Amino acid sequence: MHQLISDLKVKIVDILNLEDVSPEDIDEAAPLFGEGLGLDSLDALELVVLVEKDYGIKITDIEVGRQAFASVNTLARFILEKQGK
Amino acid sequence: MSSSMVISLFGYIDATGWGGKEGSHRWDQSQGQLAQALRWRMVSGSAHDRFGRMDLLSKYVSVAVEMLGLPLLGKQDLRLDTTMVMGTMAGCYGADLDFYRGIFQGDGPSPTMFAYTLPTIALGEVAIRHRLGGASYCFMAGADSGLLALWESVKLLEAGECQKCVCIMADVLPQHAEMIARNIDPAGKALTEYAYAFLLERHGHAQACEHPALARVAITSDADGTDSIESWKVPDSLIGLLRQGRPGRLDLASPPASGIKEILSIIRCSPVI
Repeated sequence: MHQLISDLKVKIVDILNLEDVSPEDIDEAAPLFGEGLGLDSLDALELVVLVEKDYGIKITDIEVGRQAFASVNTLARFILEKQGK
Repeated sequence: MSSSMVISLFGYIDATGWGGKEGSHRWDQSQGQLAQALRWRMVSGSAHDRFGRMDLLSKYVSVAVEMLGLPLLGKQDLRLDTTMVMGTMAGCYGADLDFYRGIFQGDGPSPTMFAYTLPTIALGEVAIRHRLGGASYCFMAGADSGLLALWESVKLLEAGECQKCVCIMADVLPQHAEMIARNIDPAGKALTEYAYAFLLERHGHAQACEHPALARVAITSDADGTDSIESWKVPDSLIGLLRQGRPGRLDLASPPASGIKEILSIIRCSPVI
């Protein structure tokens, strides 16, 4: 879980081109959207593509996505759950 | 002569650097290619979460408008009295080509890249940041684009459609300029990377708000006796005038009925208000 969280932080910074934000700056419990990291709907699309491409998990249900992308912690738990770990 | 408008603020980013009324900054040449070196923290002390993901056109337009120095508003406030007009020869052509290439590479282009395959997105980014709730217009009219934006800005103000107008002239084609320059500009003039922004106001409005008149722009029918300049040179000429810090005046000749290209090829520039 800890390694996955670290990997996700690196990927989020990289794929979203977050200037002046390092992976270490991201609080894994903080909201990804709105407050917290301040991501928006376009970033959400990028993250959906990231999860599908890198982890083989398709997110087709909006409510499932909303819960999964609440924070880095919830996203990591969602991925592990879908991978059956 | 009809009513004139004044330019009370300006901002720019080009090959020399970036700046506005409050001063200029030069590129640090040791940073390598200018466009790739551009970071928001270089130009502003306030955060901009989306800047990193923008295409180059949106980045340049965002920087130029930031250099106007408009105060940032709260999320509940809107500038409803301000409209935006942008003129660009190539728009987001660079992002279009990147997206097209992405279709044939790996997992395909990213959703973000797709979002920036419209030139109006640059205006959207500016509107969100500066809470600009008025109308916005984007003109792609070849070599006349910058002048057309200026012309339309004046016309909108004259018509009372807005109190203030942010007029933007921008083009960024770092990798593709040579390839498509002839398609955009028949004369084959080299395109460079730049974005210029001007805040235009009615003269009376600027006076009432105690905004200084850095330059005056007028649509006129009697501009004889001044030197005519080609329309594609308008962005450089205008920003050059403002960067020199001396008051200037641009007279746009009245439009004949024969079409926009002929209209806009007639511009006259004189140095003193």
